[in-house]
Amino acid sequence: MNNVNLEKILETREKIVKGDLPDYRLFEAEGEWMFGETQFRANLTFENGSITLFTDQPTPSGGKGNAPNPVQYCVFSMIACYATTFVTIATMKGVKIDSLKVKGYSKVNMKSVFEIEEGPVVEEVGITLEVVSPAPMEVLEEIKKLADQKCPAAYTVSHAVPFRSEIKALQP
Amino acid sequence: MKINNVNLAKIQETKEKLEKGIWPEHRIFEVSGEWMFDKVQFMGYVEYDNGSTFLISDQIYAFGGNGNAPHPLQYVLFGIMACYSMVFMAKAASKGIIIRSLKSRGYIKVNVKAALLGEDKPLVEKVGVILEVDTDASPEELEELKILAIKGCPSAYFVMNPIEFEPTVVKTETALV
Repeated sequence: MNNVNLEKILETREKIVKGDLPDYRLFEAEGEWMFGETQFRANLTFENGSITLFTDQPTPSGGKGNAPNPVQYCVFSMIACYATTFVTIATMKGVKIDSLKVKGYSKVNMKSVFEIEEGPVVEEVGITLEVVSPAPMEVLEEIKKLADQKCPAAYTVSHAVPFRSEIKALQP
Repeated sequence: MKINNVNLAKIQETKEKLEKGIWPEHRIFEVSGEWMFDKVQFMGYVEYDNGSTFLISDQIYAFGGNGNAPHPLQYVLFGIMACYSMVFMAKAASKGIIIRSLKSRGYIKVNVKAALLGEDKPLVEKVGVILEVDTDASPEELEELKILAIKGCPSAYFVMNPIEFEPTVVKTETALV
């Protein structure tokens, strides 16, 4: 249903309850700075394959505009994660989704980015979901409330998450 | 002037335009997408200066997906690593510091029990990025760049600060977005 394998989710849930699967999931990636047509690339691996992503700043920010910029990837991940959580919860509740379209945005304060003024770098983040479903609006609202709580990407936006950064210099 | 594959002259020009008020203070980054009923679960469309691209994502098999594309959180991680690296390189360039190479590793730790079983603990416990750089810069200079990179990186800001976020759900007969 809804292109979500409910049976597998229930099986995974049971395994986590029994302690047969770890409580935590670590997403890891490696990437490198590029000195050519784009500025950064990384290879992401998934169960059935891998993909190389490229990113580049727009020209006014010092890049060449030859690939999406990192904030666009973050906004994509947010709408993808939220949609996935929303449809998964709907499926667990037996709610059919006929169509779901999503629009997301992030409002960045360029004066803060360029150190012209102090203030929040990101001022707003928003998502709009347009759903076609036989379910009444109250049920969709209930699913939304649960998605707000359970979407990891939404969580990183709405909560302060510890961020650790480290710079290591290569030894000559 | 170009250092570290960062066009410093363009950055300076943009900064001056921002200061003079002839460049918009805010930039809105928009992305749209839709749920798929095929081999992957979600597809988005992203436009940039010199082109556009489709991005696809999928849950892993154990969580109800098909495992046919990166998980959405892998894109978050990519965005954070790339954004942090870019700001780091731009700040290095602005200080005349040459970086001969930069490799980046990142991670996001998600509490699966909180996501699937409703355990009352943080859903995302930590996010980290490690940059490995080849440079003649001193440890003090690198530490300063690290602080500036954290401060100026919108993706790190996403993670470190709570931002008001209220998704809207609209029920339609036929999708309008």
